[in-house]
Amino acid sequence: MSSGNVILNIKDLNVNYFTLEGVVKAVRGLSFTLRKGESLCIVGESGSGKSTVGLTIIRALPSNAVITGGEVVFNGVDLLSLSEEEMSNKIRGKEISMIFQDPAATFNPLFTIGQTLSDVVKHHLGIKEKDKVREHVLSMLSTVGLPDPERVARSYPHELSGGMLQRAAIAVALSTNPKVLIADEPTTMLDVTLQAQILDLLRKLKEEFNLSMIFITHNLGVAAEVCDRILVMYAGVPFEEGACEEVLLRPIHPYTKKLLECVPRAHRRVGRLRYIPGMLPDPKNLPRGCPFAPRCERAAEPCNERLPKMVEVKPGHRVACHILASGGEH
Amino acid sequence: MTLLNVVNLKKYFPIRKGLFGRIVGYVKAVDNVSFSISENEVFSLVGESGSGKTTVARCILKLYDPTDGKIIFEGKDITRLKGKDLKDYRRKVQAVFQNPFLSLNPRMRIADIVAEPLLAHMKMSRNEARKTAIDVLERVGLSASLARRFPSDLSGGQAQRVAIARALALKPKLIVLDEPTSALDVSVQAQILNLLEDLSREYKLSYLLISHDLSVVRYISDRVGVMYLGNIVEDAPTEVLFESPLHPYTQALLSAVPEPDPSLKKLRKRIMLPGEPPSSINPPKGCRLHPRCPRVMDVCSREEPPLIEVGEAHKVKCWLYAKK
Repeated sequence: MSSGNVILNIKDLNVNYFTLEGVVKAVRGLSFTLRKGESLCIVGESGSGKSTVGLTIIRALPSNAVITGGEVVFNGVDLLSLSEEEMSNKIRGKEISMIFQDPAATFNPLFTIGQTLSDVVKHHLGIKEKDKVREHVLSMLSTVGLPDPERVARSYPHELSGGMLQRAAIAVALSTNPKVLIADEPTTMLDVTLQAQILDLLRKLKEEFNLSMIFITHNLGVAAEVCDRILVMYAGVPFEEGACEEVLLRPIHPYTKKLLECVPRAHRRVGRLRYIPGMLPDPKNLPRGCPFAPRCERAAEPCNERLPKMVEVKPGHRVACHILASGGEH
Repeated sequence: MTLLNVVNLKKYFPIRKGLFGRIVGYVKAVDNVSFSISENEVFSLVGESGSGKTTVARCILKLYDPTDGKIIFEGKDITRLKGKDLKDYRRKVQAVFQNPFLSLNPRMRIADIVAEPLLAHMKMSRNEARKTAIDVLERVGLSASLARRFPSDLSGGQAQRVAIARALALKPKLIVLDEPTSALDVSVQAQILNLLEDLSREYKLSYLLISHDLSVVRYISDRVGVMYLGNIVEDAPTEVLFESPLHPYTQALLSAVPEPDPSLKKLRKRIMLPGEPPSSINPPKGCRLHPRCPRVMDVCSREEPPLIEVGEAHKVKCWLYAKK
């Protein structure tokens, strides 16, 4: 695990949103690394801060968000120190691309898919010749498995189905040959058979383009399909991080354990579902200590006092929990 | 005993064009669907968007008038009900929808939301209705202190409990659940699923669950109907369907569900369907799956397959299982 392999390094990131009702601490003390060619999945329920992480990395946070601390180091440069101009010309959409839950977010409804794609290609790759741009656009559209690329290029976003539009959005994201792809719930709006197609496509393209990927999802099944490593977040705080199989088969954090027991399964018969009592904390009124403490049956004194820190409990497997840190059983 | 029997249900939506609204075609959202639900049975309709599952539910709730076919509830065809019988039917069949914040009136207090149907149907005084409402709210796990609050004060899980309480208050026979947990987080979804399971046992309720989430369907249903482009293509007891699905579409659908357990993942065979479902304006001739089906035969493009009985309460609409 030499540092030369690390492509993205997030250090102690903190992000707040300022709203009329108060300050929302969306991300608190998050650190992780992404290695070359690796796919890391950020898993969490609503309000876990998982989407904020993606938007922070490409510096596309809404205007009421403030990054109150931390670094996002990409190829040795802290992205948070770059000017907006450097960000938009050299990084966003060039080195680091993002796709979203709603693929329409990628496109301007007034331009055809082809126009959007050629704009991106001209701006980021500096290709000027019309023929070459056209060639690149069409080859990208067929790379993502769209039948009849010529017709798709002439289409407006509303003329394509959800699955096709997500493929087109992937074409835009990858047209500049980025090093990192951030996918924020890219299959949540799609039916399961289309979801399976898109996940297959992303797996295939990851190899082809030698991508490193950050995959954001609430669906543990989707995470298991695409990821090498998993990072579990809850109410803005990282709770557990490790190899995909380790976290899903041998979870250590009480929240991860409970969460896995909550999920009904299509491929296995389960007895009565366990559930986590209570509800997700109000993001504007978070508990002082561990945000899971009010719902955790093992919570003890330190849990209500301060945030737990991530500690490596096994090689490559980190957990943030006071009970485990003080020598509690796994 | 059979509670609800749907026979050859069809619902076509006309497509109108031009100044005078000339009908130029039909969206065949539901085309010849038959199934039945017994007392105290949980029956699920699963399918992807456009399969017609929600349209079936809306026909049963009398939110749509069917184009053709019968919906027989307790021996009476409800498509013809009027007056007192109709009001009685509306009491016995209740609904819970996907988004509780859209189905609860934001300007009414929680207790009033649950009490309103009692006032309309049960000839109760306002006080009695409110008292009953609070009892029902407590039964679904909400404290009486929430009774004076508004829906916007609640979390998604709590609001869905209110919607369930409102449906439950009238002591219905059948509750139509249209994606009841799709808007909820996993940790909250489990609570609601368990509550629904307990209630059906306690009050001998039947459910018609409409869902695209196959893991939820497996957890809560007794029997499942799989829909594709307006047809039911397979109808079977839950465990039979999930353990040995017969229709190529069911097989593909099940194999597409992502599985969180990496050790199970390796055992699974993936069946990919190419492309996307065609439009139900002009569905393919013959079997509607044939352009995408991995096991297509000659006959499939020519003739529509019948619903073939292959086992105990197990029916498949596929030529593969026709007796030669």
